[in-house]
Amino acid sequence: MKIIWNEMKKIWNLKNIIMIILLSTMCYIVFLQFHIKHYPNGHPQAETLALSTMLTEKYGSTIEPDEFNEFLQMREELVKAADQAIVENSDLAKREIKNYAELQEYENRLSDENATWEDREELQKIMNEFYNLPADTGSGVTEFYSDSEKKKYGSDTPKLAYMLPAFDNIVEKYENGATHLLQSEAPAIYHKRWNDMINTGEWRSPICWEVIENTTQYAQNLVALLMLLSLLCFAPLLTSDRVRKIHLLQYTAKQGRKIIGKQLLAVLISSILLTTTLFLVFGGIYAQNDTQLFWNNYVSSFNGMMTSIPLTFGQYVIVICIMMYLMGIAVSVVAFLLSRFAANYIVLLAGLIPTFVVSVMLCDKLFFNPLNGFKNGIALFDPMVCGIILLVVVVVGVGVLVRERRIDILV
Amino acid sequence: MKKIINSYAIWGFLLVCILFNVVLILSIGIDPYADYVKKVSVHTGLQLGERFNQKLTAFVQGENLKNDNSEQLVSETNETETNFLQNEDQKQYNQEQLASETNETEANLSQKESQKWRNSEQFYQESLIQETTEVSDVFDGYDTGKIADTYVQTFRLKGKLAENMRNKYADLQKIADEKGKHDDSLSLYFAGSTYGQHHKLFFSVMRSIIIEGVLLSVLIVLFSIGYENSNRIEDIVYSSKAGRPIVMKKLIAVVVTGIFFYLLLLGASLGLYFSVNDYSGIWQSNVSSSFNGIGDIIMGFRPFLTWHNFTVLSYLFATIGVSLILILCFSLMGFVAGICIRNSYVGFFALFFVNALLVTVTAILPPDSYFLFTLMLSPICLLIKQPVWFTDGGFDILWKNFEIRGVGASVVVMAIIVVVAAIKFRKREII
Repeated sequence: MKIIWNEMKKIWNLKNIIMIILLSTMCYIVFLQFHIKHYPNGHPQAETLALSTMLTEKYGSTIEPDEFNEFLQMREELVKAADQAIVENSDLAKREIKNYAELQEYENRLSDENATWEDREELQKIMNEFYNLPADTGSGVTEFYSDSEKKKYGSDTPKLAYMLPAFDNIVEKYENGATHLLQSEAPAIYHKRWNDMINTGEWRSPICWEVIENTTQYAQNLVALLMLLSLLCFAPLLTSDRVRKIHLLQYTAKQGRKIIGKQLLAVLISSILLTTTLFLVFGGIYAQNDTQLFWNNYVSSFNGMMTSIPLTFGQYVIVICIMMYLMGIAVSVVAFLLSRFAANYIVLLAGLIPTFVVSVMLCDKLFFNPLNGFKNGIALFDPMVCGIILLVVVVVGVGVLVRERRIDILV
Repeated sequence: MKKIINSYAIWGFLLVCILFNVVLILSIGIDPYADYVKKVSVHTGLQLGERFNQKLTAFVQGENLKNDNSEQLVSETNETETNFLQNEDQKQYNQEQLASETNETEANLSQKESQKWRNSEQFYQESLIQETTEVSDVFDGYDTGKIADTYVQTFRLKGKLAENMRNKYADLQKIADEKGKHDDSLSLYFAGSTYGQHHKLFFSVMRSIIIEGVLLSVLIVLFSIGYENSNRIEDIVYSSKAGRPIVMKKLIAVVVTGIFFYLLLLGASLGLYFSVNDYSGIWQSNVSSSFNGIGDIIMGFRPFLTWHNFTVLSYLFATIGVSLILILCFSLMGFVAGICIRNSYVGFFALFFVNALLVTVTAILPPDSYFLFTLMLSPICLLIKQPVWFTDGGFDILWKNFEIRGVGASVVVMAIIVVVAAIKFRKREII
C-alpha cells in the first residue's frame, strides 16, 4: 500500500497539479466555455429550448394528449402578441402589413418561384424587421419563459419572430407521432425499437435536441482534455525511473518485480481520481445550463432522437460518464505501457503524440451522438467499443506485467 | 546529424506521420467529377470564355460520338451548340432548359438510379457546361470596402485599428481591380469541385503535413540538445575542446536535419496525394478562380483573393516555402526550450504550454485590441491561419502579407532569444 501511495505521490506532485489546473483552464476557455456561454446557440434553438423547458416545468416528463391540446391554445397567445408587435412597428405598418397572417401571406407571395430578385430583397428586409423584434414585445409572451431561462440566454434571448416557427415545428412533430425518427428503409431493428417507443409512450418526452447535442459536444471536448491530461501525467512515471536506471534497484528490493504491478495500480487509481475530479469540476460548471431539469425525461422523444434502448436523460448522462471512465482508464494504461518501453523521453514523446491524436479522433467518433440509433446494427455500440478497448488494453497490460517477471532485466 | 539520423524514435515518428497522412488521403477519397474536369482541360485549356465554350462543346460532341446511344445526344448537343452561338437571352433560356431537363431527368429516377445518373459522364458533361457558361467574373465591381466596413462596425474598431483595417482592404481593392481587368477569376481550376479539391489539398493535407513537420522538428531539436543530459555525459562533452559552443553547431545540425525530415515527409505525402488525385493540366489554373472561395462567420463565403497572382503550382510552392520558415521558427523555439530546460519531456511541454497560452490569450482578448492583432503574427497563430495564407486573412489580421511579416518577425525575435539563451547557457552551472 505504501508503494502505491508513494507512486501516486510521484504522479500528483505540485508541478503536475499546476499543469492540470492550467491546461484545464485553457481548454475550458478555448473549447468548453462555448457550450455554456452560447447555449443554446442561435435561433430558433433558443425558442425550441424555451418551449421545451416550459413544457417540462408545466407537464413533467411526458406530454399526454390532453396536455398537448392545452399547449396548442398557447399559439393564439403567441399570434396575438405577434399581431400587436407588427401593429406597433412603423416599418411593417408602412408596408400595410397589419397582422401575422398578412405577414405570412406576404412571405408566401414573395418567396414564390416566380418572384423577382427585387421581391426577394424586399422580403428579406421585411423579415429582418420582424426577426429583430425583441422577445418581450407584445403582451403575454414573457410568461412563456421562466425567470431562470431569461437570465441564462444572454445574447440568444428567445425572440418572438422565431417563437411561432419553433412552436409550429414542435406541434408538427408531436402530431406526426415521431414518425420522422424512423426512415422507411431502416432495418427491422429500428422499426422494432420505434414501435416499442410508441407503445411505452417514451416518445412523448418534451426534451429537445438542443439539450442532447450540447451535452454530447461538451462531453466530446471534456474527454479530449481527459486524454491529454492522462497521457501527460501518467506517461513519465516509469520512463523517469528507467532513464536513471532506478528500476534495476527497485527489482533487487524485497518487492522485486511485483513493483510494476503496484505502479500500474497507482496509475489506475490516479486515473479514476483524475476523471472524477474533472467530472466534479466541469460537471458543476455545466450545471449552470440547468439541463438537470430534463433528468427524468426520456431521450427518445418526438423532439429529440431515438436511442437504441430506453434511457432517461439522467441515465444517458451516466452512460456517457461511464464511457469516459472506460476511455480514461484505457488511455492511462496505454500511457503506462508506453512509459515501460520508452528508454528515454524522446521515444516517449514520439509514442505519446500519435497516441493522443488517435485517442482524440476515436473519442470524437464514439462521443458523437452516442447511443443514437443502432450503429452497425448493435444496440449499445459506443459503450461496447469503449469496453472492448479497455479490455484489450488491460489484457496487453497484464501480459506485459507477466513478461516483466520473466525477462532479463538487462533487456 | 548522425545521431539524429540513427535515432529509431525519429524515424519511427516520421513513419507514423506518413502512415497518418496515407490514411487521411485515402479517407478523403477521389472526386470523379474533378478527374473529368482535368481530362477536359487538356482539350479546352483553363481560361473560361467563348473559346472555352466552343472547345468544350466540340470535346463533348466528340466524346458522345464514341458512345452507343450517340444519336439523341448529338442532336441535343447540336441544338446546344447552335444555341451557344446565339445572343445572351437565348443562351440564358437554353441553360435554364438544360438545367430543367437535368432536374426533370433526375426527378423521374429512383434514388439508386439517380445516384447512378450523378456518377455518369453525361451528368458531368452537362454540369461542366452549365457551370462554365453561367460563371461570371467575381472581381468585376467587387468592393472590398464593404468587408472593411463590416469588420470595423462588427468589432467596433476605432482610431488606428480602423484605419489600418480600411487601408488593408483599400490595397486589396487595387488587387481585385487588377484581377478583374485580367479576368483572373475566369479560370477553370476544377470547376464546381474547386472548393472541395482546394480544401482537401491546402486545408486538410498541407495543414496536417505542416503540423507533423513542426512536431518532428521540435522532437529532433530536443533529442539533440538533450542527448548529453539524458546520457549523463554533459560534464565530459562540455569540458572538451569543443566545449559549450557545441550547442550552436548543434543548432545548425538540427535545423538542417529538421528540414531534411520535413522534406521527406512532404515528398512522401504529396507524392501519394498527387498519385491519387491527378492535378496534371490544372497546375496553371489561377487559385482566385470564381469557383474558389474562403469564408468566415461575419462575411460568409467570398472569393479567394490573394495578394499576388498565384497559379495552383506557385501557391503550393509558396505554402511550402513559408512552412519551411515556420518550421525554422519552431526549431528555434525548441532549441531555446532544450537549452533552458534540461529535461526534454518538460521542455516539450513547456513549449506546448507557451503556444497553448498564446492561443488562449487570443481567445480572451477583445477583438479591438492591438495586442491581439500582434499575437496573430506569432508562429502558432500563423499555423492555425495556414489555409488563408496569402489572402487578406480575415477579421483578425491587420496587415497585408501577414504570413511573410509573421514568419519574418518570428525568425528575428527567435534569433535574438536564441543568442541570449546561448550566452546564458555558457555561464550556467551544469552540475
